[in-house]
Amino acid sequence: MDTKPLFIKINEYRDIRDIVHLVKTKVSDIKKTLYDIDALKRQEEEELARWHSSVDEIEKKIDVMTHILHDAGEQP
Amino acid sequence: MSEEHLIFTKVNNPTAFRRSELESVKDTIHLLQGFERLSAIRTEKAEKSILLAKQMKELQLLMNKTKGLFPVLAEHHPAPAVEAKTKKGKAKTPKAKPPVLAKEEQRTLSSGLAALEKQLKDIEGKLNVLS
Repeated sequence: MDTKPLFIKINEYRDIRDIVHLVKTKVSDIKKTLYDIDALKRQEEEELARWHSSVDEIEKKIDVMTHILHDAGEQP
Repeated sequence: MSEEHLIFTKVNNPTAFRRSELESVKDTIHLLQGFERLSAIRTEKAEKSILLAKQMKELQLLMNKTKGLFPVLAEHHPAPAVEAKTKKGKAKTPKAKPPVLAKEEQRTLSSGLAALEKQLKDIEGKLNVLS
């Protein structure tokens, strides 16, 4: 690999420096968006977990109702 | 059926039955509210994903700008070495390959994914030259 020093025109150097600054800003924007997506994903998972427990609760209550109806049907 | 022949059965615990019935309806309503919340979350997530794709494209444009401004060094140095090798060996065979590659490249560039694949290969080639 060539390790000789590199000379860049001063105006191009400034352009590169400005663009690199913009790149840094853009990367931090991307990181924020990714963080937001991650938070939304967690919210989605929490909501689905709540669904599971709700369905389990409904199942339990339906079981209670079924038992009561069954007992009523068994009576002479 | 007339009212005289109606048969009834006794429900021993009507309060518990009623409570279970009402609570299960309540839970179902909560479930539907959760569905609304989930839909909103998924819509927001889709919007964020579109935003992320847009930001990534903007980043790629900026990176390409820097690539254009920076002097190309690594590509120029190894080129004479490759030419020198071909001159020593069979000179005509490598010249026949580029048009075939160009046709293949045109076919693969039909989709955006293929274009990105090509860019990746180019960058990997340049990185190999640097190392």
